[in-house]
Amino acid sequence: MIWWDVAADYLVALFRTARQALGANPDALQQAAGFGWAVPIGIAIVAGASMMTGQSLVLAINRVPRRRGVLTVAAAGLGSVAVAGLEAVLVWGLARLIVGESRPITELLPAVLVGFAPYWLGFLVLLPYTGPGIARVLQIWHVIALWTLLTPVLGTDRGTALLVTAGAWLATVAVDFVAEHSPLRLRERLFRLLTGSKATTSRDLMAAASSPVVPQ
Amino acid sequence: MIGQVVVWIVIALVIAGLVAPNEALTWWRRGQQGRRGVEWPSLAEAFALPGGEPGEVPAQLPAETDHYLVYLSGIGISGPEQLPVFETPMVERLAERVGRTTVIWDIYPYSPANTALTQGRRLSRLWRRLVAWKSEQRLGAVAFLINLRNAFQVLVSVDRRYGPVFNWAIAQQIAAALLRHGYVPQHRKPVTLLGWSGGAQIAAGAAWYLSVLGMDVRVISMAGLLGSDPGLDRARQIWHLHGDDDLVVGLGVVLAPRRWPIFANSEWNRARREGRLQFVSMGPLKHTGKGGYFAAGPLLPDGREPRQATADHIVQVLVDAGLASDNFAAQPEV
Repeated sequence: MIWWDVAADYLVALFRTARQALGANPDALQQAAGFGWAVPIGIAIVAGASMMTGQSLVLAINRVPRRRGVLTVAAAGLGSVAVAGLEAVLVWGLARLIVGESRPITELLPAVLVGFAPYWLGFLVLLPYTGPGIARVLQIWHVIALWTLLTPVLGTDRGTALLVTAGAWLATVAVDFVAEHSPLRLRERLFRLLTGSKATTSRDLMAAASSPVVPQ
Repeated sequence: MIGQVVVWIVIALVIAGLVAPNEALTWWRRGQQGRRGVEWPSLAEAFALPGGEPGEVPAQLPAETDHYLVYLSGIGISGPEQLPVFETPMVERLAERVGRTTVIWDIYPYSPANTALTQGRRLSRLWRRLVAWKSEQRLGAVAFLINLRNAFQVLVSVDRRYGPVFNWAIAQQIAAALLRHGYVPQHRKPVTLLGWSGGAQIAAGAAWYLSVLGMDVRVISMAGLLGSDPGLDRARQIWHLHGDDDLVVGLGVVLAPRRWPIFANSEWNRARREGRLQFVSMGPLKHTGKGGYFAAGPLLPDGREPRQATADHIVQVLVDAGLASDNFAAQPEV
């Protein structure tokens, strides 16, 4: 089998798995069976890159050069794998707490990674006016996909799985908020590192329209 | 078959939406804005031709007047040189009638660079064809693409992420137009932005930056489809003129949740509470078509043409605010 056959099979598995996850099909993970971790990780990377594309306004406002912009989008893809890792740890912790489940995290992580499939549509956040609403819909969709994928993995009833999923998701959002709004300002630091630019936002533009806001 | 058509229409709308902010963001990327804050353009910049080519600065600028009324057209407009045919009589009537005031309308409020759809764009030929069809009143559904394109720019303006960039650009265009018409920034004469339909949102958005330039800004929303824009906070007074039979204005309220009473602290509701926002009923007028704000007929119960009633209400608002005089009242027609 030559490499492009493998690549084509991989892409087919990637898209099939994502489509099943988008449809909240609990068997979505089976589509990825032949490729081990590659498909779940691929789904999370595409999701992160798509979400970053959806938020690429911030790159435009900061006049980030094209190459650094592409680098930022790629890094966002990898970042979403890290966020999935965090979410899997929280699912694992909550599952232990609520149902006494003691499966290793590595069994939960593929489901969490595939649960990021709705964020493939993250580029739609670019749409004017409706974009922020679409972002909220995608978050809810992610929780639903995660819930349906985790239910068979956790081996519990749907109500308990929902409790674990929603709790883990809320905790992830809280950790993200703290990381951003604490003195750590993690996301801003990463943005500055990748783009070489201060993370000026649209709100900053309005607040300081009468004085320089963008670095020379 | 119908399902497929709907899918393709949705895909086309999504693509149109995705590219809609591009012009504003390109304007921002290429410019120097943000490095110096908002500034008055130079006279050379104010007289530059659409697209940025240098224009000729006249030796004598128009005389300054006590008040400037900037008309921002609705989404049917396709360039700064010409108003949509059906709007022209009302705007001309307004310009004749309103005293001590310069009426400015040579702004294309749906282009950050004030560039007409028909010039200097990759799709200029397509837009020229659509404009021609529109003026010939042929293939209305296709010509409606102009309205659709401009409607997406209204969404860009109202969006809290893109709006600050887009509205900054339009404010620069308005400032340039004011200079072309003899406005002297140091004298700080009052400026009223009159936005019709989607133009009202552009007016509200630009108000923020125009106030930063030191202008005393007021906004007239003429059947405006606008959101609760932060720019409303900077407007000294806002008048929302609406026809009693205008269903589109009601739709605008539905589509702008921050105007709903439950968002008590939104810019719109704050302005209302502070008495800066006034609602003015214009009688039994519709949004467009027969009986619309720009229509010649059918005559209203009091015998006036709808477009005359529209001009009457705008002039009345300006006269009551002490911003302008009514030329026809001073010299009544015999």
